[in-house]
Amino acid sequence: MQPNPDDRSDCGAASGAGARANRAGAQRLDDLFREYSGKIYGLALRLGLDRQEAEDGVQEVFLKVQRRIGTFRGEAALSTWLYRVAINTLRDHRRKTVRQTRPVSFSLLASGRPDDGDGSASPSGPDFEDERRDAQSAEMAEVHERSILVRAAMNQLSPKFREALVLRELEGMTYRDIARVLDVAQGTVESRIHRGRVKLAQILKSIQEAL
Amino acid sequence: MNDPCKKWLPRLMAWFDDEASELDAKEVRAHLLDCAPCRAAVQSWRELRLDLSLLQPDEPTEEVLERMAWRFEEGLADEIHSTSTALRWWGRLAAALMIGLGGLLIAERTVMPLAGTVEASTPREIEEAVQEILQRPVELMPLAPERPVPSGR
Ligand SMILES: [Zn+2]
Repeated sequence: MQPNPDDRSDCGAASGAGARANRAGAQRLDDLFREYSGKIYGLALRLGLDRQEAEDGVQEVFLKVQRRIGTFRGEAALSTWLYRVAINTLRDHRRKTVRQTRPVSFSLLASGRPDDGDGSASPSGPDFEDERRDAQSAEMAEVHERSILVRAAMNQLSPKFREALVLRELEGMTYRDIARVLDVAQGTVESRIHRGRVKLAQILKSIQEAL
Repeated sequence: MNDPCKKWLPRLMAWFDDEASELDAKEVRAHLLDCAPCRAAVQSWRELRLDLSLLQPDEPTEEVLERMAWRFEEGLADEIHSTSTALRWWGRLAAALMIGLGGLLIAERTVMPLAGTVEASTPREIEEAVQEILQRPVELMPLAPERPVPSGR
């Protein structure tokens, strides 16, 4: 019988079935990455990480997925499980980076200059002022300034409110899916969304008054 | 929002977030027609929704997606390398322990049948091999017949 070259493994100890299982696992991880890496990158930006941090966050999330994929038991949808891993990982990542390195600058808000961490795809860098003058109407600039202000307010929310609001308002998830991703009761999700809205409105108001 | 309207809050929110049944939605709309505080609450949520929509990022570019895929492959390769190195070291440690354990058993029981070698490369296999050895029946070597004590005569 001809050996199946696909069944060879580096260590020579794994059986053909084991090697096939490994390849199936690697293929599954590859498919997951292709389907979800862009979505998790978007989630990271929505949660307030900047572009570089979001890329680092995606890396961390999928390495964690690779380590934990064996613990996925199929009680929840794979996407829900993946988002749960992502939310927890990005929360830790954010805790390590954002608060230490990027406190909200009210002077930046007042001048309307972009904050590195606003997560939007707006232009940045030394040419920004010129570009803005040339290409953007006063209305566009106003929208941009408002987005900085909203980001600053979101950054001041505690993670549980920010996450609930992001999943509802920016990811468009249902209460039930949010409950599954955050691993809390649906009533808790409803309460966090409501309280998050109240707090966000208060923070926005206080920032505006401070300007 | 005044107190009588607080009981409306969960239904109002469910309606605003597209979570209400058709019947509930109808009742909420009827209430909103009559209730200015609830209309104000809904209006404030609408303004927040509009504000939050400003944070909606663009789709990642192909360049970003490719860079992330490349970095992930690199990270995965590093991870597999460090895992196999760790496993190799654990394997060596376990093998050393087994040799020590084997030596002890030989010393204790005079002889220990070492039929065949144990092939184990992962911590789990090593653990199973150790368990298997420990569960082997103790086969003591027949002791040499006692020599009669020389009479000295
Ligand atoms: Zn009312």
